[in-house]
Amino acid sequence: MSLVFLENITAIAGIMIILAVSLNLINGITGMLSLGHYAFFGIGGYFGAFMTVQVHKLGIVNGVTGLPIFLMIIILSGLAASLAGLVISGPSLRLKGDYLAIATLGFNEILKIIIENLDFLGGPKGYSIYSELGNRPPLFRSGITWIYLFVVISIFVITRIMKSVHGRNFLSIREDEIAAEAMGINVAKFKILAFLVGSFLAGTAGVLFVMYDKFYANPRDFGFIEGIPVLLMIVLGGLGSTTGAVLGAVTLTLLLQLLKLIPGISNQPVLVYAMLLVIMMILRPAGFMNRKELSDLEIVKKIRARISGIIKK
Amino acid sequence: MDGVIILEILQQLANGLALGSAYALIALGYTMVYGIIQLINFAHGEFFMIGAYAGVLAIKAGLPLYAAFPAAITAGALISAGVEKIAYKPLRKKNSGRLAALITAIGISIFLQNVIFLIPGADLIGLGTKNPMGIEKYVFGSVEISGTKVYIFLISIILMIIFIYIVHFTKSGKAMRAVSADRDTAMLMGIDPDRIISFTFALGGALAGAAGLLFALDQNQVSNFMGLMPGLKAFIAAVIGGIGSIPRAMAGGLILGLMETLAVVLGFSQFKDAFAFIFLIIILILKPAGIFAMARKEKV
Repeated sequence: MSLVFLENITAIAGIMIILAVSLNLINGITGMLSLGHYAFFGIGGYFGAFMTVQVHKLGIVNGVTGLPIFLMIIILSGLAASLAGLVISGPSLRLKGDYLAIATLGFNEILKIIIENLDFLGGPKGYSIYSELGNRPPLFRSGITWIYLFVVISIFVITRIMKSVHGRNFLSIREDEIAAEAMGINVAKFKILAFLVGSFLAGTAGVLFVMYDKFYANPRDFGFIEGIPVLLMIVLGGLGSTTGAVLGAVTLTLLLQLLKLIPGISNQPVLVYAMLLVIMMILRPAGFMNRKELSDLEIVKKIRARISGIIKK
Repeated sequence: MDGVIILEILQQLANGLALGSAYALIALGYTMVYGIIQLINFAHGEFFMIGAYAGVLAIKAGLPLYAAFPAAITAGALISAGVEKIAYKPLRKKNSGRLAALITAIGISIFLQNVIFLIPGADLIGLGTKNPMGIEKYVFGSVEISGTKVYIFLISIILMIIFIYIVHFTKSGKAMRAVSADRDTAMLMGIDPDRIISFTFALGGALAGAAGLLFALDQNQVSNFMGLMPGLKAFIAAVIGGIGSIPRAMAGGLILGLMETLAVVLGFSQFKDAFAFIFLIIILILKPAGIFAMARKEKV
């Protein structure tokens, strides 16, 4: 295992954590089954790649302006993705469960087909920043630091939302939508909010992914089938638990990458994770964390009490 | 000039009906399973693929076409009932909820798509150039219709008639309708719901397997991902008609097949999958219970 390999796994794990945590806000916490998360991921990736090429062509990028411009691009790509999130949250107000799943899946596929037919984004071949810039790499790129900066931001944003007054509103929509409405909760507002935040974070993950190593956005990376592992991650971790989403993302990324090293099944990591998904659903549908967060665990509570005891002394 | 256009329309109508009837066959399985256990069986497209493989391998092994169909139907039925026994039944017994069932269905679907890779060289099998149906095309005056399309349409219709006979005029069919209407009451009447659910899966899988072979004969090849799009399209067809109802699923299949052919004729062939999904989303938003359904308020 070389250092590059370790770095790649760490980077992929980081991107997966952002995707899993944001999907968990929509699927696990608010209880809207969305299968179209990779649409947001893809929009972020394509938008970021396109913007990168444009700012390089304008010639405003140099050693000093590179970092703030990249930060701007990440945020703008997140906003572009959340625009799509706003669009898909429309059907979410009328559809539930399986029907919403199919509608979001359809949305993802529609988007993929549209991108495949847009010539200025490279069509089915994909959009390569290298060749758009005349075989030169862009002056900025994402890396472990950028990725984990946004990992921290996503986890922070979502845990803060859940600890705030509004956190329970999301949960109440998952538990019983009609009862939530009867209690005076604006269900539509919180459904839209969940999609907006979730798609924004997925969009930032998209730029970070495209700008990590390949500088290349391919429509085939952003289909709904490609997004199934993220669903598996949050299911594995325990739907509705942010801690679980992080754990699931790290475990599954490690598993998939390590499976690639084993000869014999190296071509078949998909087969293994599909089997894992089914077995997990049958044996322990609640996942690792069973909706609990890190702070809910007994051992963490004890450690906390011990620490606060020491401080008081 | 007008005559040419009418001929073109007739030919495309035949294509649309052939495609639509194949969708309808798959949609029947979806709608039946949904009617009986309220599960969107994502793996249904894969039963279609397995059926196609079984049929094509039978033809490759030298069996005649009329023997390949039973092979496809049996394979579809067995894999469908098997998946139900192994994966869905334990979930039902534990009352795990619909989300768990849906995710399991997705897992099964991906598993079956990739398990084919374990057989070397099986990810794409061509049937060769010879037309297994025998008849190249039918000529009516100056209209030429591909023989395969006509066969697809006719065989689908025959299978649907057999299917409707089973559902409406046999004891198992009656039990199926009873379980679908009210499982607890059906149990009190001495019906074993588990057996009936297995039977429903087998029946749906059989139709999907037959449809898979029809598709394979039309395309002259099978591949491990061939079930994905037709499966999703058939689901769209079932939703368009109104899921849970057999005649509506068939109508939905035909409507979708004709619409898709229309999209190709109008020159949007690369967007035809997108059309199906846009149509689905519009239907879901405007008439979630299907285009033939009456409005119904949700009971609390």
